[in-house]
Amino acid sequence: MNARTGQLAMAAWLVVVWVMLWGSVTPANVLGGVAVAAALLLVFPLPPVGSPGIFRPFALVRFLGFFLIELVRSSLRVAALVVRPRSQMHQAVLAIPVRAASDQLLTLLANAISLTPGTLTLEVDRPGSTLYVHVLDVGPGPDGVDRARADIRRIERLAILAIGSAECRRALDEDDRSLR
Amino acid sequence: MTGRDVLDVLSAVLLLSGVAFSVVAGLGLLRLPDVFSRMHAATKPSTLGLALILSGAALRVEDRGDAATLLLVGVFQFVTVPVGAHMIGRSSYRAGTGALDDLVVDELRDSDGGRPAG
Amino acid sequence: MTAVVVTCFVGLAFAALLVLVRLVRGPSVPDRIVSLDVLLQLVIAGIAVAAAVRREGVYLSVLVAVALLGFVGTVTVARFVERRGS
Repeated sequence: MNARTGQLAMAAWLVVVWVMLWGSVTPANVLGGVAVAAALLLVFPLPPVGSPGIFRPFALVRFLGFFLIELVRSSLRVAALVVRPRSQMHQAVLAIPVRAASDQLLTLLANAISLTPGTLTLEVDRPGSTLYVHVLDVGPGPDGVDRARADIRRIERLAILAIGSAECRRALDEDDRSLR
Repeated sequence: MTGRDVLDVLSAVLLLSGVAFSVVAGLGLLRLPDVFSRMHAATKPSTLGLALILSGAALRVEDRGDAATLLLVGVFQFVTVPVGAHMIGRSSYRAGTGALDDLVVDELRDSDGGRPAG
Repeated sequence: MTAVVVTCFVGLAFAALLVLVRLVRGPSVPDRIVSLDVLLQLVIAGIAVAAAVRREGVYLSVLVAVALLGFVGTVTVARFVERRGS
């Protein structure tokens, strides 16, 4: 996707958002949207977002479903913590490498991880394709860190299956095999 | 029991559960012991609560365009809240506010990953 | 429906009160940024409940503006803190 197509796609998306914000599809709204989008893209020429839009509908639905369930679980976990605040929370910052990740995948994962129980994305290392995730409580045992990593892996896998490139999926399979 | 009544009941359920989660978020912000745990509390239940409330309101509002706007704001929140929390967390970590002195594992410090200029 | 609405507003007001306490107490700047963020979310929630009551998109443009500005404000302050070291 070269810069020109990327910009046009972005402009189209901006017009859609503009019209939705105004609530009705009238010629005035659409023209206003086009004008605003054009002005924005002239002032802020955004760089093209690298990869072609990979999009596997079924996997995406699975990812969204899992994500929503995790969001509810995380909110319930906060409720439990509120009732009985644990004085000892073993916090940790874990490195989660996501090999051959596109911009969209890294962003989606970073956001999703922030909304799953006990995890918050702290730092994104784009050149190294790594997320640094703050975990609220890895538990006192020695394998707590590994368990936390495995939890994060679950949503990582679903995200990669939904919008990861073929290369990314291969890297994921390799990692799985080496872990077994 | 008309269709609209069913929607109203559903909307009431969504609104009330959304408010419940928002209260959880407020309680979490107040009761949790340190900055980072409070950030966890501020993002997850408040986003869920707001999404539920916006959905409930979208069911009640008569104009479809307005309902779409409400839902769009909800989707927007899912993108902006984690990013906001991430930026606050990152700046806290870098500023070294001392809340993170007793980490079990700190792979970020060990690796010196990705410190761009601003 | 009135009971539902009243409960909603009372609940949101209570949550806002809790957040206000954290906003005042701090003790650090990130605490306050986060508190403001949640407070704005509660404002959005309140406007949404008002829209639900009246069945029309009352103050909807305010809702959208708050959502957008809340995000921009949070990011701006976070970057400021990062540069100045709290």
